[in-house]
Amino acid sequence: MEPDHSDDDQDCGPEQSFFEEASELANIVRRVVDSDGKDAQLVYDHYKAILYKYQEQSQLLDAYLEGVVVPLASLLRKQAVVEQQRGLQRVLSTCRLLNVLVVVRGYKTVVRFFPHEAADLERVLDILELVKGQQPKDSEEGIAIWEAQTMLLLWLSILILIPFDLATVDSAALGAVSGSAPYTPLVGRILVLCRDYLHHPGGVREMSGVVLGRLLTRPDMGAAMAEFLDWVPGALAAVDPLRAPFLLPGVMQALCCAFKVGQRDRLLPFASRAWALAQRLAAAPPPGCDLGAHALARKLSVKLVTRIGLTFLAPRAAPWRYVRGGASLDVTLGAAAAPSQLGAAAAADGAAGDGGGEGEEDGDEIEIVAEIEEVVEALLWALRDKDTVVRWSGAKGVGRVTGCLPRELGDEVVESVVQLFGPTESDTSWHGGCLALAELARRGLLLPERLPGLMPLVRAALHYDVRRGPHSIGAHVRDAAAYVCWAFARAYDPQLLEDCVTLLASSLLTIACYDREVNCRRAAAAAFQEAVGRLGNFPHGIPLLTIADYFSVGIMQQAYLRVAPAVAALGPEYRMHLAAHLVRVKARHWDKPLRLLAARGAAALAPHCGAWLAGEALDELLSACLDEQLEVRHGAVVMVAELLPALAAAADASSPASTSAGAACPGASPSSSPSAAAASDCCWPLSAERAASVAHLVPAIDKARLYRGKGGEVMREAVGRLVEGCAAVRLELSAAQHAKVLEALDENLRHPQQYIQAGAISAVRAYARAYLVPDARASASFRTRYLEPYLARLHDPNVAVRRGYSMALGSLPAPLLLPVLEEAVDALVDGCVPEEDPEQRDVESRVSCTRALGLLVLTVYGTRDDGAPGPCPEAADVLRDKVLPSLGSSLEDYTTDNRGDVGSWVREAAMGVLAGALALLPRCCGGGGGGTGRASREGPGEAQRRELTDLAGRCVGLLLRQAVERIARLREAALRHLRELLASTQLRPLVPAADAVAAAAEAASAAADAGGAAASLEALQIIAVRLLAAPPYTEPLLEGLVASIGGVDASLSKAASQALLDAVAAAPPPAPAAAEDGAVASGSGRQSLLSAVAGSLLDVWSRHAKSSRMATPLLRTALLLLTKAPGAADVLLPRPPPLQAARGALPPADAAAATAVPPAPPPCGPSRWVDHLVECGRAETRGCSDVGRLMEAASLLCALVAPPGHCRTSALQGLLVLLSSRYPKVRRHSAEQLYLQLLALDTSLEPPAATSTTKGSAAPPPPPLESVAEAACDQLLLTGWDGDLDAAKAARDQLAGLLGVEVPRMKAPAAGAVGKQAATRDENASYQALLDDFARGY
Amino acid sequence: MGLLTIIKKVKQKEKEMRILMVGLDNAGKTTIVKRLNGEDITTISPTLGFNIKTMTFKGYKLNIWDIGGQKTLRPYWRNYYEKTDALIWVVDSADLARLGDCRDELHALLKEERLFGASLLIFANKQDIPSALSVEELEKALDIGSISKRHCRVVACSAVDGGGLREGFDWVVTDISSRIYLFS
Repeated sequence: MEPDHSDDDQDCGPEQSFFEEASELANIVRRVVDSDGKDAQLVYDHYKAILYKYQEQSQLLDAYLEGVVVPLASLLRKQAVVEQQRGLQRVLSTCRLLNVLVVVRGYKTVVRFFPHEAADLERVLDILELVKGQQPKDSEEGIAIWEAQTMLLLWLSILILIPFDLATVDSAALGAVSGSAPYTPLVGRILVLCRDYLHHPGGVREMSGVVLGRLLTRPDMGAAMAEFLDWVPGALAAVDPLRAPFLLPGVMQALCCAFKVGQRDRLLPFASRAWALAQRLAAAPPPGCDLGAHALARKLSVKLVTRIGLTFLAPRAAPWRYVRGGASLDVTLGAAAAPSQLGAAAAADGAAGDGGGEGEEDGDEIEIVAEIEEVVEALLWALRDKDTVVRWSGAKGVGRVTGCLPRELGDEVVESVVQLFGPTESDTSWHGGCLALAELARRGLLLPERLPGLMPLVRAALHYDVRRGPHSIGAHVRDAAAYVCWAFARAYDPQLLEDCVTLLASSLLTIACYDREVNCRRAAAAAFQEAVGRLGNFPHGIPLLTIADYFSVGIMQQAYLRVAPAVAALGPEYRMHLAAHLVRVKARHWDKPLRLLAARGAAALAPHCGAWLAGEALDELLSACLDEQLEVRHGAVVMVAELLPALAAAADASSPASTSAGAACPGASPSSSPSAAAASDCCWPLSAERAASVAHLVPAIDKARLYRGKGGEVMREAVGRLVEGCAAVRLELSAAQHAKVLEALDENLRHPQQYIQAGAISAVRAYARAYLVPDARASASFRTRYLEPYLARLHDPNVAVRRGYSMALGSLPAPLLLPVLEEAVDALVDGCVPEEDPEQRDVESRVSCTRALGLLVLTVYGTRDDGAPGPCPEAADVLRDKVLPSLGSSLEDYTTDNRGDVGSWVREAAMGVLAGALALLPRCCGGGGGGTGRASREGPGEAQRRELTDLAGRCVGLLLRQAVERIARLREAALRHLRELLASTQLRPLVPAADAVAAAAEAASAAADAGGAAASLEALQIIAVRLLAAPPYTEPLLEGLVASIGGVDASLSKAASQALLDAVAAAPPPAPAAAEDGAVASGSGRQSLLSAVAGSLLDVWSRHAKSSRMATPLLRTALLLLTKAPGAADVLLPRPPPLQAARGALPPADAAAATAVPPAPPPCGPSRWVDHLVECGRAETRGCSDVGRLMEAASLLCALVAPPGHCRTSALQGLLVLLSSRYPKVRRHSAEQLYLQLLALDTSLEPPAATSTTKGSAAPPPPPLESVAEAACDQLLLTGWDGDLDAAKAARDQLAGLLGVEVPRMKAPAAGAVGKQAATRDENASYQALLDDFARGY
Repeated sequence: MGLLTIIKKVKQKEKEMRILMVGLDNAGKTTIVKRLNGEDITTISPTLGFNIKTMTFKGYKLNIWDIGGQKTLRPYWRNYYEKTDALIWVVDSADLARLGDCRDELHALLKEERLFGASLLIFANKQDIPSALSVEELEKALDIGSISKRHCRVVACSAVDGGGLREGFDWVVTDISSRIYLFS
């Protein structure tokens, strides 16, 4: 990955600039050393945590390495001496500490600090063998053992460099005669050990490779090298296929290391053999090792080839290489004492360099062995490898080897690298070629003569982008090409690149602005900066650099729409390159969003190269509009569409005299803008034939049948955009073309894809405003041909037609709508109503109808083009009688389907429209400040005002209800619209309790702004608690809260419950007197909030009785109030008691029929809330097949057993029915709840007689429940309620007798009736009902 | 492995140091660079923008970014990859009228967090002019004492005769290398 700096730094932790924990680390090391390594294990984790922070900037540790490595290594040495017998624990722990350093900083840096006394060699080897033989107890120790071996091998690798004959340190060899064996036993042991390690995965393999490389190249080890080369083929042939993938890179690593560190003259004798071996390994790897899949082995193989190649060649800096004039401070400042000599010294230096070059050139006849050719061949092949690491190694190898070749051969290598940029070569070759070119340039091996020939290749590589199936490849090539440019900028003098500066700069800028990949844009910008700074001859380099920098090109959209136009504005020489790249390359890019962005980018360039875009580019695009390839034609059409308005605007801006109307028709005299700037005066108007071919595009696309088949949708979308573009500039169209355009738009409107429809709607909007409004005949024919269907087909069976046409209707301009205004409003209002047939319903259609309605009223009534916004009674009527009620009912849309609460889309749309429509109303009514005509008639004005207030109150109530409902997104939308609505000065006086509402809405929004679910719930609570007490809003808020309380979301339910209880508690408590004599309602009118809530709950219930959405929440809310709100059971309501309570012992069958119907003869007087509640609760149980709801009802009824009187009797009756429910779960639950309730009653002291008499109810008082409670409890306990139904029924009857309550007898017939009802409903709702049933588990 | 990765590696491997040379206009920055480069210093016009020059010193490659004195210099070091290793602030020691300006600009620059940790070398340039302030006077005038948490040194120099430049670069290179490249 690229290094991300600055802004991105925060992501990866703060970048360090020094080693903070230096003293801490020193303390740790001291502790370990002081404890003789005993504490090493303890400090390991902390030590590791400190050091791992510096993985990215390990060079910061360099200054402190010595203080860590030296003590630890000495400690290790000590342990190696004394601890062989004592187990190896301490050795292992110390090694682990060292290993952390190696991981962070790399072994090459760390190894320097290891002690290297000759005497240690044997000890280390001994202990290494010991560790190797160790059997790990657990995996942790296993790791430790491997790490220790790695460290000991690392130590060994420096120990074997001792400058004595190894025989002198070998205790075993001291006595023996050293003449016979090629090396001493000690070396033999090392060799065997390391060879064995070469088979292993993990770090030991690499380390043993290093040890072997060093050992084999020792001056006294001549024979060992040969032996190793002999050993390798056999070992590889004999290796276990599972081990082969490790042994092969191991061997290569060892050889690489040997050839890297060894002396060339010693290695030369082996080079040919090694080369043959390397070739054989590459050609025929051992069984079990597939080189194609083994990138590491291939990489090492390339490195080995490079090293062997360098062995064949004399090491020298190529005398023929190009060296840029650079200075050494030693020379320039050394001469400073005698400034007059400075120039001379520099000259002399240059002369010396040249002279040396000449001198060495003579010695160029060095022998070049035949293998070199193969080496170079192999390296060039590596440049084509499929893995980046291998290509990278290849490129470095090419650079190294070429530097040692004589000029002709080096030039041949360069020529071969150039061959990689062939049209038939793959992308990997291009990438490898770029890397190699950059390497060669940095080493000065690309001679300046080559540059002119290379430039086109570099440019081609910068633009490399090859299509592969649905995408393209080449980002790595472009990135590498930027590397080449970077390397060129550093390597060469500005004069050498003078000729290609513009080419290079414009290519780099094009990539920096327009590449699809962010890393390429940034790489190009980096290369551009380097070139500007080093070469200094890029036109406008400095200011461009500040525009197109690392950060600004990071975001593609910004790069296209801001950076590129700014570049074009500054540098005229880049304009054409940028524009041409967009038109010729990016317009046909495979990525559709990029084509769209390119079209917008081209439009953004219009002010700078309008002439070319309007001329040549447009011709090219127009001819591409019918291209066979989808990408090409789509890109072209979209770009034409974007260019048209941009060109017109550019011409406008440059010549304010010429109006857009003048520019509209191509026939207008072009001399109308004499003062226009030279660059853009000819860009607009378009020449006649270009305008004609643009106008002909839509029919031509239709004729070419490009809407069909694959890509048809893409073209449709483009055509929608094209029509919009044409309309924006009022391009002249013939009658036939108009017809075709309208036909295309109509088809797009009816298209099921939403993005096509959306495009078509904006196109219709633009088209109608451009062509229909000014032309009466056209608008008349449009009305008959299209407007009528729009009106008629809002209930079309095809939902796409409905959605598209309704939105189109809404987006038409006012002049077209006015003649059919009433029909249009009616049609849209009608469209908002769900269809009778559930199969026909479509939520999205209703959403678009609602939106269209809002658009329409705003278009027609919002902006009155005839002047002052006067009162308009018709508009007021339409708004009041049609639009607002329709929006109100849209807000009741709670449709759900398998996508969830899709009705929320309708509600959201309706809320958006509501505020706007309501704001129009006072103005249309002539209300507000200056009422002119109607103000004199005081009476109607007052009445109207009251009516408006009422309306506004209702609308605010609706919004408030949404503000406490289930979906957070809707709650936030409701708050937003609420604030919007209250911000209107005309509306605010009309809203009841406007200040309280505004304050609550502000507070809630502020709370919600904190973000997150908790904040949103807090906002809900603020609204509910503050506004529930405001009379007009009690009921809507309660309704919203009920839905939230009963919802499935537990946290929401909790928050809403709390809000309701808080609101009730916060209100002034009901006056004791009021509760006593029941004068709550008729009295002062100071109705307590609790009774208001209780009453509202009943009202809500009457509207939502048996509703599948609200019934359970209502039951739950009633229970909540009853159990948690103190005094709720005693609330009296100013309404007649329910029919059942009034009639007392009526047959329950009648009661069932009369449920929820307000009693016809209203016997005035207060009644108890609980009496109403019990009837509501029982009503919900009848015919209900929702187990959850039945259980909620049982809970509620049990709670209602507590208050005596009718309520208790009725609740018990209801429970008796539930006790014999057909669902065992319900029976058991009811029994349990009742049992608990009776237990509670048992202990409570309550004078039953007193209450029941004050009730004045006609019902005969049942036996005091308290007296039979115990028996009833026994009965409840003894029966297995969830067992057999008949047994339960019998028990239930006994219980009824015990309680003295008549079992409602209507059960069978009622159930039948309900069943029938359910059946008919099922038929109606057909499929949906089936789904519902299925969901319930039938 | 993209270009930006390569750039980062190159910097580490080739022992490159990035030195930002800034200061008020007419302080003599470009003259110093040209002098270092062994170029002709008789005609030097104000720098518009910036130059990058590469020089070798003590086995290191110094990339010296010579940046024009105008305030718009920011973008040039707000860039891709390299953190600035050292900051060379060049002062016209004879321009007494703008010393206050010079001090404020310097301290403002030092607040820039991207330059955090960079060594600071202050060249008291134009010592060949008789009225030039000495190092001690300049240290006081620029309030060098208040700079903490940063290696800082004021060196008297003259771009015209080359005196002091070597001393300054010796210090700066040693300071950077002690921090970053400990090993040769």
